[in-house]
Amino acid sequence: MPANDRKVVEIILEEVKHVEERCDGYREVLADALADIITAERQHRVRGTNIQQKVSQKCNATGEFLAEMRDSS
Amino acid sequence: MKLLRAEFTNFRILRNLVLDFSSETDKTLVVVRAENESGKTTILNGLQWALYGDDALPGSRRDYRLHPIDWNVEDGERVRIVVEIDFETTSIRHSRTHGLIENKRKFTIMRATHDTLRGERWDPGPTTVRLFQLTERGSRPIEPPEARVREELPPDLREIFFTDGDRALSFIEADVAASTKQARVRSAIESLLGLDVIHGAIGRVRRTATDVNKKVKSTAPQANISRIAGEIADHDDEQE
Repeated sequence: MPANDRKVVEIILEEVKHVEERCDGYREVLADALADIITAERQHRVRGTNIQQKVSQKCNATGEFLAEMRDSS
Repeated sequence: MKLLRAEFTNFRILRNLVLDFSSETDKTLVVVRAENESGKTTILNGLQWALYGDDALPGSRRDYRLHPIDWNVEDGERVRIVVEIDFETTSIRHSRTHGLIENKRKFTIMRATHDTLRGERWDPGPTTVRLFQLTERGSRPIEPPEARVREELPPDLREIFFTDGDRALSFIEADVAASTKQARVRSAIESLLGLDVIHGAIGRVRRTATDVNKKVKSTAPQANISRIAGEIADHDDEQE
């Protein structure tokens, strides 16, 4: 991720802090997923990866985290 | 991407020129000041050629002469042309424990070709490009070089970063509609901020949401409805 993305990522991560904490650790997992998705999107611009599958996996992982936390509570 | 050094060999008027750019964090501006026709714009063209190849030249490779116009054939009919650039990149990644982490890397890109002189004409040779990452243990080749350059400096930003006064004026004062100028400036700002990447990511997340919603509608509710309908029927049977 080039440095000119830094400001954009900082803004996104700052916004995540204001998202409702739906369970313990939700904001952190969300921030990780967003950072990973943006990195994957940028890599896709260069190398032509299976980006939709990668994004779906990140979204599903976040969903599964939510589901696990709900089940354990 | 931060340019550290550039070396031009037989690139048009630049027969043997080395430019060392400022690497000091508090002195980031480099001014190239010289007489007209001394090669300032050629430096811009040479940098772009090294990074992006023949497509970045002002004309086609066959018609745009790369060798010095005053080349003496007695020095050889074949003129080797090289532009080499040392640059540094800064990448960032997000870590849950350490936040945003910076990682600096140094590279050297070398693009070379040759012209073979045939009287008043010349035959352009093939262009080769090599990219090396410079580490404490030496250098290692990066493949493919173009992909790495595009990742750091997307081609749609080339005209913005490598510009001179005339090009800047044509960008904002061109004889086109105001809406066209606004669209150009908007596109440039979005590219500078990397918003096209964000737009792309948003679109894919939305598509994922649509796919998930479709799956939910086609599976879980049906099953739940069937299960609940069965429970209601059992309950009704018990009531009877």
